[in-house]
Amino acid sequence: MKSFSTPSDIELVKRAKQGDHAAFRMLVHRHEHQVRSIVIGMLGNTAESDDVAQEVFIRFYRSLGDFRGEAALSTYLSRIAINLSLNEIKRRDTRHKRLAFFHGNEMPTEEADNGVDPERHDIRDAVHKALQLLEPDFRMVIVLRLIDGYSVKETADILQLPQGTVASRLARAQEKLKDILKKWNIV
Amino acid sequence: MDKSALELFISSLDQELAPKDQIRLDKALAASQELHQERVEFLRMRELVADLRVQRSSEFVDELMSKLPQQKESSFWADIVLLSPKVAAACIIFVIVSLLGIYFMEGRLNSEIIIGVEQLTPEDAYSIQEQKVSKKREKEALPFEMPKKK
Repeated sequence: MKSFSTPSDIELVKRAKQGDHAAFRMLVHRHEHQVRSIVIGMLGNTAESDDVAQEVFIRFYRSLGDFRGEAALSTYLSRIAINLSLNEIKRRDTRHKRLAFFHGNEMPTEEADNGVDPERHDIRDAVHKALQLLEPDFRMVIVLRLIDGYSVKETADILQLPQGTVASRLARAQEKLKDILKKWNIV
Repeated sequence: MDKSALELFISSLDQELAPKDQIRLDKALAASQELHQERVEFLRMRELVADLRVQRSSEFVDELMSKLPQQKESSFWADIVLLSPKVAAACIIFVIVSLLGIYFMEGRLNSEIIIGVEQLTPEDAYSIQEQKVSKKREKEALPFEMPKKK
């Protein structure tokens, strides 16, 4: 009897390389929530987050030929998602600095929004907001470990950092995040 | 509160502790109400952060897939520029410098000057044709057949 097993990522990539759009669609469907979780965690729940998440898959589509399957596809996509999110954060910072320069430093900064009233937001929004207050280096370990559920070793592989560095960043990031949420009476 | 016990507890959230450290942490948790409270707060924070994971979205997939064919069709030059932006920029600069060079040397710029045929006359074309015809005639006038190369 013929068995209908779910094709692996590698098989789908092979078919997508041959121009099979349905196979690529299956790959996107399989990994989109994980990629969007990373991008939204890094950038906040904004309109540009979906654009960046789409850009992750467009980059992957363009470089299908380069993907040799040495790393798991989820690791590969997470790495692209982190890199594009960091680029977007840099772009935002530059835009913010330029605006601050022209408006005489009157632009509100993320830190200036520290006193967010949790009653005005639901808890989920407040946690997003708190996450955005962390520096990107801390934010990315929290996103990969706590939101996407990667182990410390997998997080270290994605970020191409030693496991010890990831573990210490994770500890400091959690302390900072807990302090912010405690200040807002959320934990 | 024992700071090292708190550090141990935070480490225990993401990594397995050595048995002796685990025993030390258990003792510290049992002895300190403050550490116990920290534990509650950390676990609640982790739970809230884990809730930020997004749900699957078929709209996202549809929107992305509708963009892909256009990307592929219009991406020939874009791919070249993406593959090697420096080479693409160097080529553009080379073309601009060449055109400027021709313009300054010739004083004007048109397609004949660019391909170098602006001084050719119809007679030049006639003499080239004539040379070809006379060579052909010479060949036909040979009294014997040329040996074929093996």
